[in-house]
Amino acid sequence: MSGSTTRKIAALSVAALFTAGCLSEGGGGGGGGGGGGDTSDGEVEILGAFGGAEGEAFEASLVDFEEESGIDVTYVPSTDFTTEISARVTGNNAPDIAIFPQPGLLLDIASTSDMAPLEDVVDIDALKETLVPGLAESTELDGSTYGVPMRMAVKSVVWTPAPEFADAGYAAPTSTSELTELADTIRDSGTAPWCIGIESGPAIGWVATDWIEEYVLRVGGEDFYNDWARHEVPFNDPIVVEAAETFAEIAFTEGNVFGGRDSIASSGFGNAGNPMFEDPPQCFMHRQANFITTGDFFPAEVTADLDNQVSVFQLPPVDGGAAEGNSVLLGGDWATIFNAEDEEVVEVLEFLASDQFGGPWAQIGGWLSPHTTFDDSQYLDETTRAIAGFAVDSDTVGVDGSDQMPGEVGAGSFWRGMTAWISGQQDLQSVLDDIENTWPED
Amino acid sequence: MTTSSPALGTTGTPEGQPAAERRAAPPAAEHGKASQLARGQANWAVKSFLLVLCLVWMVPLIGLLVTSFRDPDDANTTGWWTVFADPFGSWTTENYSTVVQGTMGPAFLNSFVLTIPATIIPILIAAFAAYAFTFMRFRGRDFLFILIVGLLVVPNQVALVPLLQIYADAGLVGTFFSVWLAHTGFGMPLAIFILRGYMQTLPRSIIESASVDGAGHFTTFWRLIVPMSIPALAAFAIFQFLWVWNDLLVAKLFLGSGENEPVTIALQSLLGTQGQGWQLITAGAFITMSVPLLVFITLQRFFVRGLTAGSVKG
Amino acid sequence: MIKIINALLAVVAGVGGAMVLYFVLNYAAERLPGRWEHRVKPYVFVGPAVLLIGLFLLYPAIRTLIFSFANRQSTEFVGFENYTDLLGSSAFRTTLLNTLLWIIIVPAFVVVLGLVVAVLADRLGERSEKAAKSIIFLPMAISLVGAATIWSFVYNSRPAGSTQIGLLNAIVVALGFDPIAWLQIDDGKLNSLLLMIIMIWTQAGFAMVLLSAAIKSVPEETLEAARIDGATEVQTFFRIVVPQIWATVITVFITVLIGVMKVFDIIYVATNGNFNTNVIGVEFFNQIFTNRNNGYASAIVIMLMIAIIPVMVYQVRHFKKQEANA
Repeated sequence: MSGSTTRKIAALSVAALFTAGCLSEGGGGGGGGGGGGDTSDGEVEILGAFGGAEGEAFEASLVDFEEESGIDVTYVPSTDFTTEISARVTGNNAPDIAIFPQPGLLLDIASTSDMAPLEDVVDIDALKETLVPGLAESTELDGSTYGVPMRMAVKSVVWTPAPEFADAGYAAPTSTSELTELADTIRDSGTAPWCIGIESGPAIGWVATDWIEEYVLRVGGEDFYNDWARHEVPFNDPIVVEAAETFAEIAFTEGNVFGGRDSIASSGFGNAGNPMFEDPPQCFMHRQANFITTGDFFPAEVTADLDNQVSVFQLPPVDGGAAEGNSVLLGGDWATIFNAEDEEVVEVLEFLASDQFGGPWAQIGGWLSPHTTFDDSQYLDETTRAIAGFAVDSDTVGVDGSDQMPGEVGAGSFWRGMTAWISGQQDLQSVLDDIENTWPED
Repeated sequence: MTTSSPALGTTGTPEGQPAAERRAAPPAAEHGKASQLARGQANWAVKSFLLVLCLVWMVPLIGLLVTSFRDPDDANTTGWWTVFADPFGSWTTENYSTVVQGTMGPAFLNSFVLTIPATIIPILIAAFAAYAFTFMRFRGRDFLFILIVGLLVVPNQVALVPLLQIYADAGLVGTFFSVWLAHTGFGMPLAIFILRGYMQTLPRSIIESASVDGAGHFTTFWRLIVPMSIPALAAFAIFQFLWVWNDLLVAKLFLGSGENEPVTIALQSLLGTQGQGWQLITAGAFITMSVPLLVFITLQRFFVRGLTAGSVKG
Repeated sequence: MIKIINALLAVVAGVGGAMVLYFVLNYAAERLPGRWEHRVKPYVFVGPAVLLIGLFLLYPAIRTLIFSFANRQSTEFVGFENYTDLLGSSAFRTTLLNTLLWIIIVPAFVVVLGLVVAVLADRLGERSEKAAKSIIFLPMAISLVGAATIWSFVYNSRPAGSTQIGLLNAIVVALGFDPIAWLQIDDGKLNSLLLMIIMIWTQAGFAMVLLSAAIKSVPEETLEAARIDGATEVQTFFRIVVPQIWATVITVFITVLIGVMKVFDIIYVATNGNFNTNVIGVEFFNQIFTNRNNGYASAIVIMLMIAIIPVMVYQVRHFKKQEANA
C-alpha cells in the first residue's frame, strides 16, 4: 500500500470515528439546548416522566395539533426523569420542553441554570384565570413562574367497592368524625375498614407522605400548608404532629387496616386496595389518587365497569381544622421550556398549557385537565368526572408538598421517615425532628 | 478440559498452569492426562447436594419465566408456582407481543451499535498497550503498569459527573461515540491487566525469531500476538459485553432516553408514572437477557482459558 | 432499513476508526529516523490507553477529591465540612457499617461456594458437570437490576389473609405462620443478608468457573504422590490443591470485592436503602441525583477510595511478587 493511499483512508476513517456516534442522532436533541438552538426547524423535542400507555396517550393528544401547525413533536419518555433531566441540563443537551412531575425539582433546576421565566413567553395571568388555583403558583420563584401544569392528579379520593358498600348501608362521610364512625361500624362488623399500602420499590413511603399532607392541609389550612411545603415554618411544627396523629388513628388503630399496621410498609401501593374487590370484601376504603384506575392496579373486571364497581368520596375535612370547606390535595405534571427563542417550541408549550389540550387523553383515561374550563364531557366515565369535580369545587387546595420540597426531604428523609414510623422502627416526634434536620441549608 | 487448546497447541504451552511449574514441567503432550480429582466418583450425598443447589439457583429464574407468560391479574393474585397445579390453565404471550411492538426493536439495534464498538475498541487499545508492556522496553513502563493495576479498584462513579461536563463542552452528549469512549476508558485497566497476564505466558522465542526475520512490532502484533491471544481477548470480550449490555447508568447519563436508547432504558420506559405495566418488564427482561446468554454460551470455552492463563500463577 | 444501515455504518466507523488510528500513528513513527522510531514506538502502543485512563479515571478522581472539600454546588470551599457532616450522622455510619458487612461477607461466601461447587462438580460425570456448571453460571449474564427484580418474586410479602405471591412467604404461610416482611427486618441484619444472597447468586458462577479451571490444572502427579503417602482426600485438597490455586482464589476474591464495594443496583431496586440496608453506592447515587449535592457525593466517593487503598496496596504488592517470580 502506497503512503498516500494509507493517509487518505486514515483521514477518512478518523473523521468517521468522530462523527459515527452522531449518525443516528435525532429529534432536536443535538442542538445544544439550554436556549442554544434558536432555529425553527419544525421539530420540537419533549422530555417527560411518563412512559408506556401514558406516553402513547400523550402523543395521541398531539396528533391534531401537529397536523394543524405542521410542527413535528417528538416525545421522549424517561422513567428516571430526575436523573435524566439533571444529566441533560448539565450536559448542555436540554430538551426543548420538559414536563416535570415535581415542582421542587423544576425550581431547583431553574435556580441553577439560565432558564427563562415563562412570563417572557406565555400569558401566565390569563392562564391562571382558568387553572385550578395553586397549580401554577407552585412553580413560582422570586415572583417568576417556571412551569405550567399539563396534567392534574387528584389525591384526596377514597375508593369503595360500590355494590357491597351500598348493600351494607354505608354512606359517604362528610367529616372526620363521621369517617371514624363509619370505620368503627365496619370494624365492628368484622371486616377491616381500610386497605393501606406504601411499598413502592425505591420510592417506598410516598403514599404515606400523601396522607400526612392531606391532614396538614386540613388541620393547618392552605396558608400554613404552603408555608410548610416551602419550609417557612419548621417541618416538625406541632400542627404536623397533630396531622400525623390523625392519620395514625386511621392506620394504627387495632383492626382498622387489613393485614394490620405491620403489613402497610410491605404492601405494594398499586395492589394494596384490591382486597376491596374480593368476595366478601376484605376492606371497604382505600385512599389513592385517580391514577389507580389505569394500568393493572385494580382488577381488570373492575376497571372495565368502573362506574358500577366503585364509588368514590372526597377525604372529608377535619372537625375544627383551619381549612376552609372541602380540601383537595393535587399532584401534576408541569411543562417548562428550555428553548424560549424558538417560536415553534413556544407554540407547543402554549398548546400544552391551554384548556384545549388533552381531549384524546381524557377519552383514553388516566388524565385530568388542570383547567376548570375543560369540557368534562370528554372524560371516560362518571367516576372520573366526579374526581375532577373534587378539584374544581374545593375551597382549599394544596399541591403535593413532598414534590415541592428539596430532594433530600421530598424524595428522601420524608419517605424514609414515614416508612420507619409506620413500620414501628422510630416514634413520630423523632421522625419529624430528623426530617427537619435533613432540610438543606441554602 | 483434557485437550490442549488449538490456539495454544502450536506453542506447546499447557494452559492455566502455575508459571513456575510450567518452566520445569515437560510439554503438555508428555504431561499425560490433565489432573482430575476423582471423575465419576460422586456419591449420593454429593449428587443430591449439587442437585438441590442447582434447583435453588434456577427457582428465581423459573419464577420470572413463568410470570412473563401470565396475565397481570393472575400474577397479582396468585403465586407463579400455582401454574404447576394447572399446567394447561391460562397462559398468554401478550406481554411479549406488547413488548416487541413497542420501542424494544429499535432499542435492540441501538444496544448492538453501542455494545459492539464498546467491546472491540477497548480490546484493540488494551491489546496494543499490553503488547508494549510485555514485549517492549521503555522508560516509565513499570510505573505506568502499576498505576493501572492500582486504578483497577477506582469506582467508575467518580467519573460520571466530570465526564458529563467534558462531553457537554465538546457537544458529545447523546451520541454513541460518547458512550463508546466512556466504556473504553472504564474497561481499560481490567483489559490491560488480563491481556498482559496472558501475553506473558506466550513464548518469547517466537517474537525474537520474528524480529530476526525482519518483522516490526506492528507486524508481530497483528500476525502473531493477536491470533495467539484469542482466548484472553475473548474472555475480556465476554466481560465487557455483559457489562456494557447490562449497563443502565452510563447509557442513561450520556445517551439518554429517546431515539438512541439501548434496551436497558427501553425496558424501563415501558413503565407508567406509578409503575403501570410492570408485567411487561418480566417479558422484556427475558428478551434482554437472551443476547448476553447467547454470547456467553458461544464464547464460554474461551472464558476459562483466557482468564486462567493470566491469573493462575504462583 | 435506514436505521440498520446507519447502525452498521456506526459500528464499522467506530471500530475501523480506532484501527486506523493505530495504523496512522505507527506509520508516522516508522517515518522517524532509526533510533527515534524505537524510542517513540512503545508510546504509540501504550499512548491511547494511558490517555484514556488519565481522562476517564485519573482526572475525575482528582477533581472529585477537590470537590469533596466544596459546597453542594461546588461554588466555594468548605474545608472538611462534608466529611464531618457525613461521619457525624448516625444514618451514614449505619451505611458504612452495612458496606463493611457486604465487603466481609459476600466475597468470602462467593469464593467458598464457588470452590465447593468446583470441587464437587468435578466428581460428576462429564455431562452432568457441564449442566451443573452452566446452571450456576447462568445468573452472571443477568444485570443486577434484573436480578433484584427476579428476587422480588421470592421476597415479596402481602398482608396476612391475602394470597402470598412471594415464594418464601408462601412456604411460611403454608407452615402455618404469619407472613414476614423479609426486607424490612433488620434484626441481625436479616434484610441486608437477604440482599447479599442476590449478589452471591449472581457472582458464584464466576468464581466457580475460574476455580474449577485452576483445580483442573493442578498436575496429577502431585496428587498421586500425596495419595501414595497415605493422605486422605481432604488432606490432599488442603495441602496440595489449595496452595497451588491460591493465586486464583486471590484474583477471584479481589474481583468480587471490587464489585461489592461499588454495589448499587440490587439495594436501590429492592429497598432504596430503607430499613437500615443503605450502602455507600446507593448513598452516592441519592446524594448526586436526588439531592444534587455534589459536595457530599464527592466526599462519599473519596471515602470509598480510601477504603479501597488497602486492596490497592495488596494488589500492587501481589503483582510485584508475581513479577519477581516470573
